[in-house]
Amino acid sequence: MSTSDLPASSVPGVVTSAGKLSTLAAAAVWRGHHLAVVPALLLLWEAAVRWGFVNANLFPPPSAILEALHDLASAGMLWSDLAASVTRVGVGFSVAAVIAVSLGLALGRLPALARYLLPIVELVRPISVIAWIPIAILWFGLGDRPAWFLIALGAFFPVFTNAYDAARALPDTYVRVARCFGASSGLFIRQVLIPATLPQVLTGLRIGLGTGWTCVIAAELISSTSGLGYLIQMARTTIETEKVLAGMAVIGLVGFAMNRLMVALERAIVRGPRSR
Amino acid sequence: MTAGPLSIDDVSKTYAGARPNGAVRALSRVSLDIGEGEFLSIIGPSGCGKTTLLNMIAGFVTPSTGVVRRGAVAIAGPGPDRTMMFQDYALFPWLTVADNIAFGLRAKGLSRRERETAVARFVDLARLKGFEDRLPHELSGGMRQRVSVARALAPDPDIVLMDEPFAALDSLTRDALQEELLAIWERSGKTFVLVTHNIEEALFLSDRVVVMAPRPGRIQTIVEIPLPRPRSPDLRTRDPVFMALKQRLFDLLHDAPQPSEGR
Ligand SMILES: Nc1ncnc2c1ncn2[C@@H]1O[C@H](COP(=O)(O)OP(=O)(O)OP(=O)(O)O)[C@@H](O)[C@H]1O
Ligand SMILES: [Mg+2]
Repeated sequence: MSTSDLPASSVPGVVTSAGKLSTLAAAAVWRGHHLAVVPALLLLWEAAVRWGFVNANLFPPPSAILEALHDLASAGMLWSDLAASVTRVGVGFSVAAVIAVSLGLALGRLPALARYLLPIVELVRPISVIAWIPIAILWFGLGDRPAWFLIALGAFFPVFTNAYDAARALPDTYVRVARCFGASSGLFIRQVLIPATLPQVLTGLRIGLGTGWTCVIAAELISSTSGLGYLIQMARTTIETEKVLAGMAVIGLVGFAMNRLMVALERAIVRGPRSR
Repeated sequence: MTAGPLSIDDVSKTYAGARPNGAVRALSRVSLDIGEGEFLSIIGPSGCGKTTLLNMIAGFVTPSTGVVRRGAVAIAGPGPDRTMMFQDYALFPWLTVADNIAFGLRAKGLSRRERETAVARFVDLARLKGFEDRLPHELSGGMRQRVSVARALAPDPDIVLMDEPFAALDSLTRDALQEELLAIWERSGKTFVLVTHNIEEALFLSDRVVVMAPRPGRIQTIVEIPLPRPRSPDLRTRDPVFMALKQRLFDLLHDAPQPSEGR
């Protein structure tokens, strides 16, 4: 429509390139259209509250949550609680990763040992981390240590299972090649077992980190005096619903970012023949 | 270290099988001596126990009865004096060509310097120069085969075992690689044991061809190949002795089931 307004002397090339640009932009927007679901829902929510369809005390609108977020951030509480939660996950997850990967790979290759230890793992696995909170408090008191324990416990199982399955599924030919050349167990672990199982172990670590992140919040709700879980619990006692939701939004976003980071890490590390 | 010729002494192998009464008699009373520096081929129909026999020499499979010896010592397991070129090459897909070739050298505990020298030598020998840093999936089938040859030879074994090493290749590549393998064997002085389905391949390469028969797996005949060495490629199409032997092996393989039915 705007082309008709242009003077006749305008260079046709400019018009076409501008036209091309706008089609490109339109294509980009169209390719990202599925991402519009989230803002659309938020808008709908906002509107529903403003028009009085829902109770603003129980469902504070996104604008109120954003404001609460802003308050929490500028007061500094958000950052210190975020740091506390992330640090706890870092510690608990690292401990779980080391133990679960080594144990999983070892049991996957040593069926005689797995026969004795696997039943223990299978019996402990169904006990939810929530059920461990009371005993964790009895053992470790309040603060970082019960959280580390609970995170490590939660992260252990997905990491262990993936490492164990991968080690068990190691093709027999590779074991034979290693034995044929007389490889030591060190060489076997470094050049055969670890590279062969790496893709699945990384998947396990990604899932385990996600589990660890859900566990830290659970731990902090009850057994802690800092962290995002503690933040939303405190906001509940003061009936600041928008702060509870603001905290929850941060928990979701951080978990989302962690998962993205791990996916990127997996892609960067596993660039071998299997990914092609 | 173990040394000396291989002797397979009245060996039988029965695999238990998954179901009751599912036992398979893979080898029955096999006796065979393999001289040092010999090129020996094993040929026979599918399921006659060729791989089982080769795995027994490698030390992966233990005989149910009888014994396989290297010199005076019974073979109890795999050892770096006997390396294997596996069916489908079995290269490590996550290791580069150079690291695949170096695997047996690392296992032997060679220093980095020694490894590098040996890898360079076998990269040359296998005509893989310029491909040292490639991964196996970036290579053609023929090149993968040559990596597998280089990996088996690099740790300097006395005996090289090969299970249908050329089966997956087209016939031109196959002929070329057979010639290369022959040249390598002639210079190395090592014992080569080759399992194959291919009569021409067995004839062209070997000093002796062991013909096996199935159900139960056993040695039917051992055929001496009196063709002079070094052997030239056109032997395959021109030489009357070659042609006569080819006909003989063909008849042996195709008559194979009949004697056992008579029994
Ligand atoms: N691990 C095993 N367990 C049970 N049976 C086996 C096992 N390995 C081989 N067999 C059986 O033993 C017999 C001989 O097998 P083998 O693999 O040695 O034959 P082959 O001559 O190499 O055959 P092909 O030419 O098809 O490779 C077959 O009947 C096979 O089914
Ligand atoms: Mg076979």
